[in-house]
Amino acid sequence: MRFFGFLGSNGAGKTTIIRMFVGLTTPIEETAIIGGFDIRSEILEVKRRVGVVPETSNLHDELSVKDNLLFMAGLYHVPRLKIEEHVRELLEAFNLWDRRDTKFGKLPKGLKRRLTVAAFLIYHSKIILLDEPTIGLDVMSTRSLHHLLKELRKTGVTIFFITHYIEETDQLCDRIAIIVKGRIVTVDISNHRGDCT
Amino acid sequence: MLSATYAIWLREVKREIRERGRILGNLFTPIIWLGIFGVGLGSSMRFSNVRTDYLTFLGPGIVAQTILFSSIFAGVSVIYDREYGFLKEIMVAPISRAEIILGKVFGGATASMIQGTVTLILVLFIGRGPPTNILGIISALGFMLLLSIALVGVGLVGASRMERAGGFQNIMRMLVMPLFFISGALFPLSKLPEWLRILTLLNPITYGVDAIRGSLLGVSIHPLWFDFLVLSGFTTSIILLGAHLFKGSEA
Repeated sequence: MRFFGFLGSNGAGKTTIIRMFVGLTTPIEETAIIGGFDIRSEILEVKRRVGVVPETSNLHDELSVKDNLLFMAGLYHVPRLKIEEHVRELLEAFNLWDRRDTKFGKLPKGLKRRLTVAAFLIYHSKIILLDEPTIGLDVMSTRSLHHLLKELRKTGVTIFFITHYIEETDQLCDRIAIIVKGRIVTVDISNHRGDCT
Repeated sequence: MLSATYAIWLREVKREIRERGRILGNLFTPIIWLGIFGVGLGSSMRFSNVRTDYLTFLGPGIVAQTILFSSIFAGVSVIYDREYGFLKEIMVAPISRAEIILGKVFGGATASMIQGTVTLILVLFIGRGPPTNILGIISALGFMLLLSIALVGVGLVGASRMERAGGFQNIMRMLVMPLFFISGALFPLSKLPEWLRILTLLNPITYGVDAIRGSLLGVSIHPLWFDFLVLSGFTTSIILLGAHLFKGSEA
C-alpha cells in the first residue's frame, strides 16, 4: 500500500487525525504507530519520518522559493553541505528552478501548493500526509498536482491523502478509508487501483 | 540543534528587516522623544538630583525605550505565525520547543538590537553628554542585548496563549507604558515617594535603564554588577516560563 485515501465530510475528524500523527494534538486514549514509532512516546522520531502538507500553504510570503526550502532544510537538520544540491534537485524535479528567486507570495496558487509539497520532501521524508491539497485549485493545477503525487509514489514515498472528493481518492489511491464522526467505518480497495501502480 | 535555531533566527531577522514601515516608526519615536520632549523639557527645567543636562540624562532612557517597544512587540510574531499557519510548520518539525524558543528569542532580540543601536548612535551624537569611552559603549550594548532578550521573552510569554494580534497589542500597550514611565527613563528615581520607589524596584526595566545610563554616563543608582544579576535572573526565569507555556500552546 503506497497511496492511502482518507475520505470524510467536513468535521468528520480527518484533520484531527493528521494533527495527532504529528503531535499537534494528543490522543485522549489509544495510540498509533508510524514507521515503527509510537506517536505518544516517540513523537520526535515520528516527525523525522513524516512530512505534512497542510490544507493551506503555510510557507513564507516574504521569502523566495529557494529561501523557503533553505528554511525548511534548517528546521529538519539537513546536513549543510548537501542543502544547496538537494534544493536544486527538488526545484528541478518540481519544475520550479526557474522561479527560485520569486517570492512565495507572488506565485500562483497551483505553484504554491507544488512548492509546499516540495518543502516537505526536503529531508527525504518517507511518509507524506496531505490535508485536502487540491482545495481551491483550478482543474489544470489539480491535474498537475495529481501527476506529481503519482510520480512521487513511484519513488517509494507513502502518501496519506485526506480529501472529501470521492472521485479524487478513486483516481489516486490504492486503498480508501471512510471516516464518520471520528470513526473509520470502512476500509476498501480503490476501483482504479490498477491505474495507480 | 543549531541548524533549526539558526533557521528560525534568520527568518525572524529577515522578516523584521523587511518590515520597513515598522522600523521607520520605531526609529522616528526616539527622535520625537529626544528632539521635542528632551529639548523642550530640558530647556525650561533642571533636576536638582541629576548632574548632567536633561537631554543627556534622557538619552540612555530613550535607548532602553526603543529596546522595550521593539522587543515586546517582537513577541507578537508568535501570534501572526499562529494566525497564518507558520507556527504549525515549525511545530511539526522534529525539533524541540527549546530550539523554537531560542530561535524566536534571538531573532527578536537581534532585530531589537539593530533598532536600539541606531538609537544609541543618535543619542551619542545628539546628547551633549560627556564623551563616552569605548568600554562604556560596549557595556551599554551588552546590557541592551540582555534587556532585549528578557523583553522578547516577556512578549513570547504574553503571546503564547493568545490567538489574535489585536488583543495582544492592547494588553501589551497597557503593560508597556506604565513599565516605561516607572523605569527611570524619563526622570530620576532618587526622590520618589516610597510607594512609587517600591514599584520602580519591582520593574525589571529599571535595572536595564540604570545599567545603560551607568555604562554611558557613569551615573547609576545600583552598581552595574547588581543590575546585571537582576537582569540575568529575570531573563532566565522569563525564558524558562516562555518555554514552559509554549509546550502547551496550540499551533
